[in-house]
Amino acid sequence: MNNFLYDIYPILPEIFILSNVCILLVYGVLFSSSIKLGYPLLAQNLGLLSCQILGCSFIITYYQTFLNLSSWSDFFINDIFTFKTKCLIFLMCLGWILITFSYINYERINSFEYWILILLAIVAILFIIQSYDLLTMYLSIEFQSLIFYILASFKRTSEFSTEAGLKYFVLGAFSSGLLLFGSSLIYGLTGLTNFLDLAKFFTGMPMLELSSWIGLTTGFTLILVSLLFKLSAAPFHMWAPDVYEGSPTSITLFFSIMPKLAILSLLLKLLILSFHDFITFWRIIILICIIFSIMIGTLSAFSQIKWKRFIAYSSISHVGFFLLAILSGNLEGISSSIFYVIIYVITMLGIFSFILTLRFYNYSYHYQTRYLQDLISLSRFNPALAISLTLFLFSMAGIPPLGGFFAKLFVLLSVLQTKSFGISIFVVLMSCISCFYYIKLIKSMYFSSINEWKVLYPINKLNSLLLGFSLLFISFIFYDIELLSILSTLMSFSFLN
Amino acid sequence: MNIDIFLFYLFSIFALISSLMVIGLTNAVHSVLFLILVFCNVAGLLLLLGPEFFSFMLIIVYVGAIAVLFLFVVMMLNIKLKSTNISFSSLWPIGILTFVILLSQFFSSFYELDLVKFQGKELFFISWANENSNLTNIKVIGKVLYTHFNLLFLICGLILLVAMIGVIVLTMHQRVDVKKQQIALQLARTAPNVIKFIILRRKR
Amino acid sequence: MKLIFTEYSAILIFFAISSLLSSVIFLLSYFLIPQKPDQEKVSAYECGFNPFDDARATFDIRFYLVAILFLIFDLEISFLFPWSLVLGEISIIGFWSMIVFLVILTIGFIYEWYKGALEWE
Repeated sequence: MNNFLYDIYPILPEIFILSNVCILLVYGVLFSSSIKLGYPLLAQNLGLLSCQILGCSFIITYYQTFLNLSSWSDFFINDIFTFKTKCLIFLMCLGWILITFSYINYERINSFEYWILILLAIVAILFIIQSYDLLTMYLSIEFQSLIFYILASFKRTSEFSTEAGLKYFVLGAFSSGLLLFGSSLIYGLTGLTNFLDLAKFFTGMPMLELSSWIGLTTGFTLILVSLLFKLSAAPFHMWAPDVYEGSPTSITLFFSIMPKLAILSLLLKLLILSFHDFITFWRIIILICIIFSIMIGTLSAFSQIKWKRFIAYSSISHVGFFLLAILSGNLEGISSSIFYVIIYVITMLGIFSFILTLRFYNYSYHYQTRYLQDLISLSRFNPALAISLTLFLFSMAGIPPLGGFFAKLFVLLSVLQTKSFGISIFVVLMSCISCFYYIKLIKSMYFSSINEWKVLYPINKLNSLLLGFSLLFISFIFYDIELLSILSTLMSFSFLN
Repeated sequence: MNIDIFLFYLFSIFALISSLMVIGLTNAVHSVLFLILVFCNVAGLLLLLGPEFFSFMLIIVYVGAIAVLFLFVVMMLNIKLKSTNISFSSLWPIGILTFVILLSQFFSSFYELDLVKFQGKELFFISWANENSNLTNIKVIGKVLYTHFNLLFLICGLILLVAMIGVIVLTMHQRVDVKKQQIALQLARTAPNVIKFIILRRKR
Repeated sequence: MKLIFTEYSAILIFFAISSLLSSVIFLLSYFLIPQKPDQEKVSAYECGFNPFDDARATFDIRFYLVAILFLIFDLEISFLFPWSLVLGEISIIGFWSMIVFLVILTIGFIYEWYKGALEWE
């Protein structure tokens, strides 16, 4: 019984969310299909309730006493990294909910299952973060991917949305198949599935001395390819622009911020914990992925004319930066990668709150901006929005003293420690090239003129809260950068063994 | 020849022929029927290896549910003949590459096996007492699935829940203007509540 | 290879005889009858007229919904099979983990019942 309590205590927030999902599901379906009440639309009601649920589970997670153990017979791990990552995921999701409350009203997403699926997706992401075994990794990734396929095609009446869901499903299922093939090869050749057991198995032996090194490297490559697929790193990025563009915008934001931290934590566990002795092998693969990601993400953004595809390509290049930080394979690399992810998430929250705010009023209905052309002479319609977008774009380009600069600085510092000068010079060159089209957007805001005056729908309060918060955060983080870097260094200590 | 070697070759050859027919036929419904035949033959092969629960589960789940879903999709999309003609020259590089990779994996286990007489190179000792007191495959699975692996089992339950919610979110069209019968109310009526007397006009 | 096969040999003999019998009936009827196909004989019958349209109507998506719901509950039952055999040997943890699994799927069942997925028209 004592052992069982040690299993329950670390997943207390997940149990809380799951029991609330059950209650909300029954509540939602009983009320929304009753003729007497006139089939009420429960989406907003459940939205507020799920906001409360996430707030309470954040409080549960934050005030838990810290235990460093592996629970559920070595299928889950709880160390300082998963502890802090869970708190971060809850905070990110609370920020996401603030932005998307008004979006649901405008776009008339009326079904309450939206919120049930979002809560289940949070549970799935928490399972991915804590997973410590090949089987748990596969099942949690399938759980999360299935929810994302449904969410991507949530708006049934829009062809874009169904196309996005279908593309995501086909490519995601294919990559899950590769994941399973790789895991079964590794299990077949070593007989182990736990990450720590694999780390102990490979300790000390250089890769080529193992008798079955061909099968092991094939299995490991397949798992790595599948995880890079899910992370939308090039050359496995094909699904990202179409899926990001077709899904409803709030779901696009959810796709950009949530899985990145989860799959990145899984990649860190695999690359640096289990397969650390294969580093001479996976270094090459990651290097090729970084070069392709940054090149494709930067160069393809030149010809984009729609907002969401533009952001999809820039997030592909940001993924290249995450991978660059872990190329060194030491603790500074991990902490700078986590730092970069946090800054990236806050920047994405800011940019999407900007996009969701930019609605044009064309009498009696207002529609959301879709094209980059809509930015022309925004500085005259709404100067505050123009300045906020300027600061966000400068942060993404890496201009000091904004937050993005420090993120890129830490990543490049950790890479330079391993004396990889070529890739650092390449990355800096590509950043300069990406700076060009960010400045092109700013130029179209400030220095172009348009004949007709467009009326903007006024920003609503929750959106403005989040826009302001992320703006202040990335502008003034230079004053006390220890606020974040202590967190990321603390999280990297769990990889010390 | 031993019966199990004969059965092994029978099932394998039928599985190979059926899988070639799956990709080679033009009519989509025939392809799905040959896919069902592949599943049945593979279940037979699995039965020869020992885990009988897995082979019957394969038939129940794959043939009984997944092949049925395939058939429904084929019927829904109304695929009559092959509509696209992919030229062979664009396919053969990838095909040869995949074939070589999978075949090389296969060959690494080839050298230890003698496929004609099924003789191993070394003798090993069969303990018949162990074979007699073996647990069946179902009991072995049952003993670990619900105690040691119960986390994975519960995650499977959550995946099934998501599948239920998802299929209704994506396909159900609830009509609010159609009146439905409420059979429970209809059957629960009692004789005194059926007829009601009203006075239309006062009698002069 | 499994060494003790006594019960399955009965199934194998049954399978062999049934496939033999059905293939004999099929092949005899295919080879022994005179076949002279004609264009009028092979065409679809529509009360003497030429066929107006394709015989297949649009496939209703309710069939697919029912098939997927069948698959989900079929998997639930297949998880119940081993549990019912070893219930005496797994401790109370095994019992309650299956109960939690059944509760999760029952909540999904309540959801689809009240949504009307189980009603046909």
